[in-house]
Amino acid sequence: MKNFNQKYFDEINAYHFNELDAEEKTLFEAMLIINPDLSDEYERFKSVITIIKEEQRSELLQAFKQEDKVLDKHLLHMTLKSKLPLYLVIVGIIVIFLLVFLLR
Amino acid sequence: MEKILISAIKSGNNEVLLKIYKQYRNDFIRWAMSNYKVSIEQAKLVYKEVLIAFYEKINSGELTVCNGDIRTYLFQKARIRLIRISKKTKASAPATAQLYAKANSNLYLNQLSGNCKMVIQLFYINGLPMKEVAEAMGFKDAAAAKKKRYECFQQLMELINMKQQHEEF
Repeated sequence: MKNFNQKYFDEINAYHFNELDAEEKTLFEAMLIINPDLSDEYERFKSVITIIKEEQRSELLQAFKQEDKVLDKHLLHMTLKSKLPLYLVIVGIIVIFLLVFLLR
Repeated sequence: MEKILISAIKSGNNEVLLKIYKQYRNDFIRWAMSNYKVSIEQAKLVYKEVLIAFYEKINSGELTVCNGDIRTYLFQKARIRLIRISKKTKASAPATAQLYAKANSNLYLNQLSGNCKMVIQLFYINGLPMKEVAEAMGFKDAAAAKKKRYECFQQLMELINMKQQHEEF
């Protein structure tokens, strides 16, 4: 990839991020058609923007992942706590069955 | 309150997003598993996906205010994804799983020198106008910030170029 021409770069940014008025936008779009260099630079620009966005997403995912360990422990604790009454009922039933079996 | 959180995220404060992630994550997983019969892993991935979509909508300016609180917003946005997953017989992989697979430790942005990463982030990710980038970074004016943006972008291109050349050999 060769370096960007700064003039093109500023125009591309302005176009891509909707900073141009209607007339400037039309002019830029016409330039994109007749100037293959500009069109090529714009394609390269878009591919770098995609890379930036993907990197940001994967950086956020890494940050989330770092928090997951502690959060998973809390989640397990919450799940066990919410199922405690169920476990108590199951243990109770087992105890009753054992008592009935032993007292027979 | 929501408005303050949203504007903090928009100005590049990712700690706020992490705080939101931690605050609702486990409630979300339990809610998703009991209401949509998805697995715990699927629920975790959907939550991450929704958080990232939330982040990107704020930065693109599409989301400036939530109807209701952030928790309601996130849960509501996840509903369609969860229904889609729960209707499929086989475990489907949300886009986040694919992103995980793509993620590598050698990130370009982290290799940028000086304050370039911040300049790139504030403009290309948080979508701040150059005037605000200049204020946040302590540059003289928007023109100075634009010059810096160009230099940083070039630096990024060189890193990408180097990696591509390295991969070709």
